[in-house]
Formats: sequence, C-alpha cells, structure tokens
Amino acid sequence: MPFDQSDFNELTRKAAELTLETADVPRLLRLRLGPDHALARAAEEMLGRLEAFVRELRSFHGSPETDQSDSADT
Amino acid sequence: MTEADYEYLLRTLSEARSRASEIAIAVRGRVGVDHRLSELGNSAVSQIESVLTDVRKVAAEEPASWGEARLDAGAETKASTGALKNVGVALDFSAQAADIASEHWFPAFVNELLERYRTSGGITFEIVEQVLQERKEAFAKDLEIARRMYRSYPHMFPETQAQRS
Repeated sequence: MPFDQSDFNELTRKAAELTLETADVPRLLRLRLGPDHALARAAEEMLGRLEAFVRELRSFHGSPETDQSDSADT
Repeated sequence: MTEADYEYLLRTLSEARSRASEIAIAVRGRVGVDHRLSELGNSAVSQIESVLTDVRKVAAEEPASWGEARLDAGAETKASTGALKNVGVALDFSAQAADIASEHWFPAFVNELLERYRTSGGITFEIVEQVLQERKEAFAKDLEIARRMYRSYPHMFPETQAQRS
C-alpha cells in the first residue's frame, strides 16, 4: 500500500491537537493535589508520552524512512 | 477537588483515550506494529487509560454528600420547594446520560480490543469479557458522577430543564 504523506501529516496534526487539548489535565491535578501527588505525576507522564509521540511523528516526516515506506507492510 | 473538576477530567481523559487510540491504530497501520512510532502511540494510550482509571478511583472515593453539602450552604429554600421535582429530573437525566455515554464507550471498547489483539497477536473470550466488565464498571461510576453533577449544578444542564418545562 503506497505511503500517503498527506494522510500521515493529518495524523500528526491530530496528535498535536490532542496533546494541546490534554495539557490542562496535569495542570489542574498539580494545582488541586500538589506536584508530588501520584495522580499529578501520572498525568505529567501522560502528557510527556503524548509529546514524545508527536515529536517522533514530526521527525518521521523528514526522515528517509518516510520515503522508503512505500514498501511498508500495511 | 470539586465535582466540576472531576467532570472535566473524566470527559477530557475519556475523549483523549478514544482519539489517541484512533491515531495510534492508524499510525500502526501505516508503519507496522514493530515500529517505534507504534510503541510510542501504544504507550501514550496506555498512560491515558491509566490516568483515567486513577481519576475514576479517586472520584469514587469522594464523599457522596457533595450535593447535600452545597444545599446546606445556601439552597435550602430551593431544595424544599423543588426536592421532588429534582428527583424526577435526576432520574430522567440518568437515562439521558446513559444514551450519551453509550455513544462513547462502544468505540473505546472496540479500540481497546483491537489494541490488545494487535499487541498480543490474539485474544480470548475471557479477555473480551474482562474488558467489557471493566467498561461496565467505569460506565456505572461515570453515570453516578453525572447524577451527582446534575444534583449539584442543575444550571449546567439547561437543555434538560427546558425539556422538563
């Protein structure tokens, strides 16, 4: 299946949007429960993972792998 | 935390879980299961799920007297004149909440099954039953919170009140 770059860009955009809209969750938990509360830390971790996912998606755009992925096993 | 906080957190996290699952599945379909992007997507979904579960637990441990405490603080008059009406509205609302929530839990349920199927390379009836049971319990908790939200903040549900009048 040919790799659709515009489709991938759209997924990256959606992931970035989701990360932005979820950013208030750790903020609220930190404010209400304190930065050391397990739930606040778990929410920070959640946001960190989403940000890492978006970063990787963005870097994947420009990587040689993107061009080679026409042969990706999809 | 207030009920409004919990309402916001549960709604945001539940929606985030569904959206992240969709994105992760789509990405995995394009790059393959073993790609780092797939792992990162799965990891993000799993952490959202974990936080959502923890928030539900904390919310369930909050005192059931949230609504009553607020009534004591200054709404006795309204409560005395509208108590029976409020009970009726709350019951109607619970049915509506069930309808609304049912639009959300099913795709999340299917996504989770697909997630487990793809990550482990298979699935059993037991796992499906276990996931469904977890969804049912989570739904029941969300419904209870929604009921309490309605009792405490009826002004936040103007459409429900309009239907009643």
